[in-house]
Amino acid sequence: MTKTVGASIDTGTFTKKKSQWVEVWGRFKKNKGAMIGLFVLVILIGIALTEGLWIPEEKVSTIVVADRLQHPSRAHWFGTDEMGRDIFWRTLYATRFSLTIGFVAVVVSAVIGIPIGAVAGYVGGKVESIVMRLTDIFSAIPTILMAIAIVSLLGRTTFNLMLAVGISSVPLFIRVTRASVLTVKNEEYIEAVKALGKSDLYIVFRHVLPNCLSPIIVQVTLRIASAIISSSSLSFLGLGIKPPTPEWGALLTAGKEYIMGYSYMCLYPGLAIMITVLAFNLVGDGLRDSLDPKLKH
Amino acid sequence: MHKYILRRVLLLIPIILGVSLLVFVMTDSAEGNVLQLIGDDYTPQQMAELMHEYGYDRSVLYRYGNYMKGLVRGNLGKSFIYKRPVLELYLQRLPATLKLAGASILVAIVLSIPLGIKAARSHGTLIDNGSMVLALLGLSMPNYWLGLMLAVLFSQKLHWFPSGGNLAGWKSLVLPAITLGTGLMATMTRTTRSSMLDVIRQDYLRTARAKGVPEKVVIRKHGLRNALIPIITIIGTELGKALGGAVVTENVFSYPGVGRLIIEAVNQRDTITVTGCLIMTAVLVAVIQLFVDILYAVVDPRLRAQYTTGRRKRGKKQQITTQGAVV
Repeated sequence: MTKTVGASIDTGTFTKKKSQWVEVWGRFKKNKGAMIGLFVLVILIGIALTEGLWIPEEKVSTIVVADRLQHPSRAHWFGTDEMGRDIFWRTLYATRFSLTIGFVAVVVSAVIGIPIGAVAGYVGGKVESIVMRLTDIFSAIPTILMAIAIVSLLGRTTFNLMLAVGISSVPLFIRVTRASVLTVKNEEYIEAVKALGKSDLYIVFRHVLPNCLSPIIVQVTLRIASAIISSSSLSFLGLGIKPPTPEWGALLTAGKEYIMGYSYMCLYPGLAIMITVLAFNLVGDGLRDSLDPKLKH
Repeated sequence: MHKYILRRVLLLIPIILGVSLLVFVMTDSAEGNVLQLIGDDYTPQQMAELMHEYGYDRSVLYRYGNYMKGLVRGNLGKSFIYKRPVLELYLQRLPATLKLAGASILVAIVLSIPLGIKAARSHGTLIDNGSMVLALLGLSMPNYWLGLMLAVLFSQKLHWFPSGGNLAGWKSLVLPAITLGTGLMATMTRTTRSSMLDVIRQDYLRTARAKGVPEKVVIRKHGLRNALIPIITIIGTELGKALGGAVVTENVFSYPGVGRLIIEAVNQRDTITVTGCLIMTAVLVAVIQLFVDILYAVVDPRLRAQYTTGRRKRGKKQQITTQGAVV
């Protein structure tokens, strides 16, 4: 990582060298789309973290039969469901659950994929080709089918859903990490650390990986977006979260039964998914451009 | 060229073996459930016979070996629920899925490549930004949600297209194809644009223009041709994704394809059907990938040259490329 150098020299002609992250932030700030995405994400994460404090519990789960299937109105902004629960509050409340699923799924794939990819790229030779062939095999099965197979094998629980979505995108992390490690491992500074007699494990995790972070960070952001879509798709197929759990996919699934005549029940949870995914995608694209300005169009 | 194709075809074998082993071991562990599920109808002795018949008194590898013996002869086992051979079930549903995936890819290609080129040519303008925003929206939409909304609008409100099944001919293909095609279109527009942008900046395009080559020819012959390789790659991977995404789309529209069969089978714990369909889908994806790789060689003379020239000439070729790199 670039350290601040020259800070103590006060000759005026020298300016303090900016840290890499300050530069990245400077470029990121100029990207309007990415800033909008970031703004939305901050709000969403804020809602997810604090929702227990201000969302009235009774609005989310109390069944009011008299209010069932009300179209959107001033009293119920997004309308009510078949049990008379307010969809606006339920959609808002589902933020925490849905975001958590996306985050955990990506953590799963990153924790498995990054070390494997790093070792494959760094060690090279037979290990690398075996790992990469296995990755090819694994990714011959479309991700959603892979996730379906894993969920039906492990059982339909929330945890297994996150695991399934996570595992099915492991190959992606292996590929990205390996490709990135390959470009870094022949750099002179790695050779220098090697000459100091450090162990390979130390070199990989202390020197190689930190310099491979840019593409991985971008991938993490973009994968959270697709993990949210995949997990809600599985819920929709009846393999993930089941109604009445307040999760966007499950809300949509519940609304599916009433789609003819009460389409608002599906409209709003879907919009919530779309806005969230869009925000992650905007931030991911923005990060890619600002972390690697050479690629920018 | 032939050597290249042969090499790629041979590479299919380990992939098919690996995929089938992976899927088999994964679903096999869940397989016992089925027998337990239908267990009530059988006496313990019948149950034991059934366990023996399906090889449950032996190891997983034994069952896998048996399964593969069947697979090479085109026998994927018999469905517990439908009481019919899995291959027959699969082949019966396959045309519908291929039609859907093909139609959506076609929609995506026809719309996204011109849009991508237009966006790249008018880089930085409203058209460019607008199409990129659209593409990003397309990428961010869960496609089952898009399907539901399209069904509400075009089927329930406007009565233009049916909302499900495949009984209305091409009309019942329209909404599913758009639903599945939107995501693919988004990715392909973005790829076409960035690939074209790379090419547009090249000197040879400026040279072509300076020579007085008409703009249309510049774009089509000098531009698009060189930008095509990343686009073909993405079409290949997107076709694979379309086959996967079809699972969701088919279930939105009750469209009777392989995806719907898989979900029906999963819900009824008919694991042998799930196993068969997953393996066949993976093989199909691998075969498509193979065709894409061969297509590269057709489009990219550099790749073709690498394999058409014999071993002796290869040294010469490398020299040329290194010289090219120096220049």
